[in-house]
Amino acid sequence: MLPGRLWQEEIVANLRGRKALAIKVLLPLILLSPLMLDRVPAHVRSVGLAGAVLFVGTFGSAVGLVRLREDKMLERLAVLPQSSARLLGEYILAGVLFDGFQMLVPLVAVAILGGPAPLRIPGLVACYLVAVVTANALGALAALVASSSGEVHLYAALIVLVVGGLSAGDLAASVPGPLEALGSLLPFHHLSGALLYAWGIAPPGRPVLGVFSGAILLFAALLLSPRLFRFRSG
Amino acid sequence: MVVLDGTSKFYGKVKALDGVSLQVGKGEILALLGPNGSGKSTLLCLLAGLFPPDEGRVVLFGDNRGSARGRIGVLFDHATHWERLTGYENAWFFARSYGLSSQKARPRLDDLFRWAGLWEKRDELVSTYSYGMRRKLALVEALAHRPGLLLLDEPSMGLDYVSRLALYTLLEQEAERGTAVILATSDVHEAALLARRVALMCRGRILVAGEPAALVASLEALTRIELRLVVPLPLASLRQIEGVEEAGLDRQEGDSVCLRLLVRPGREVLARVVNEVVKQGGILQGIEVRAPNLGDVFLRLTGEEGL
Repeated sequence: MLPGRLWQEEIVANLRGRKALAIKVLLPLILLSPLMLDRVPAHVRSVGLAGAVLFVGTFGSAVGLVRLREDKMLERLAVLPQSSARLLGEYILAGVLFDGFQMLVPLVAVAILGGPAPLRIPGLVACYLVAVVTANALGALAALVASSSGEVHLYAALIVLVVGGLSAGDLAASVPGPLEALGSLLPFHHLSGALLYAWGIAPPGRPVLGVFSGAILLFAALLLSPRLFRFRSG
Repeated sequence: MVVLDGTSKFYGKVKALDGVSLQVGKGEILALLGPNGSGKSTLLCLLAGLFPPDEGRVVLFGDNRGSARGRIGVLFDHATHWERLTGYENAWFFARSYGLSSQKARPRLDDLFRWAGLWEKRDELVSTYSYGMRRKLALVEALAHRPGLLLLDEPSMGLDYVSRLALYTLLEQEAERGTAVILATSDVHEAALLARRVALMCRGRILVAGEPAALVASLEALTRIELRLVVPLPLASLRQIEGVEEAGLDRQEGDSVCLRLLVRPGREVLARVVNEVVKQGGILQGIEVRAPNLGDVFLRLTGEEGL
């Protein structure tokens, strides 16, 4: 395939490095393998998987964008007759396709362990996709504020810690009510909830809240995208 | 086609462009000539739409800068590509991003790859390309969509002699087709050879603009003396010699230093210059008397070290 669009370029470039591709696919599986042990509670499994989706999407997108900026590729893209929102949207789309594929095997492996109800699987997949999109949007927001690759790692780590902590807030008894309410808006909370619901050990959540908050974060990233493609002297 | 009116740009407190006014017409080749940091690249970035001016206005193809982007071809001074894609895939990406259809992109890119001598290497990853090949690929990418305005930053940098000549021919053909070409260069000979008009830039300002021959002719009857010395001499002592209009550092060549003097014609001035060099303890390796060039115009206008 000759890549004529940014998302196609990202997919072709990612698929070309076979060793890197193998590592990217196998690493989450290896890191998440402890979740598949018998004694691991279902709550921990679901939160662990949602956290991994958050981590992979946020870091992948943030570090990738800052690397493009440091290579001065964002400057080259900025002079194309395409809006910065479209370019970032395509970059996020590529991230979603790639991360979605990367995390699919661990998702299937973890989901199968709990014996999901077939009718609840589409809802789980929808929550998964919303979480992947949101994680990539969060990565783009981290890249927006970071001015170097060192900084972007710090911001991405902060985002993962804060968003992950809020999303998993209901696991800890001491989380204050407002923070727990905030966490319950996040798509990662709903991905975790969708797994538990698919396994039949939790009532259905309100994933529409996750879609709503994910859309807000994506919209914010697209709205602020001109800042990402802004020329930086030197 | 291109109108800049009192355009200024600040990088923080530094004024990178200072009230630049310029017009470039269809089919014209304009060279921005100046030393490093004179604002040439900033001006090209401004025209490419990387940032708006802080003062003044820029008008391209009428007035709509948004729609103008697709009609501009840009060659940056850095040859950035997608490293994990082949040369052809890179060019394809940019051609399609500029709106070229698949049917039109393929023959156009095939022609340009052959022109650039990259045809045999088209399916190799860019990460295996040499610097010169990357520059050629960047040129292909800038030219593929047949832009109405070409912005080229140091276009011949990294190119061998034959490729330079091929580039000059291509740019002349593009200009004949109606493309306006603005190139930034610090190469006096390139500017004189290629451009129909030259704008000399220094510290963010355009000092003077005009046809190369007319600019050189503005030096009237001055002669250029080039001195090659082992040890540099204080320029002030040379400037004080009767008949010497300007003196500046031209270039460093290994252990020797080349000084450039603009003098009034006459053998006695040359003799006085040689005397002064000897008096100052300078070791003269060579001396050359020539007609002045664009670099001398710059030296005359700024009294600085030159291009």
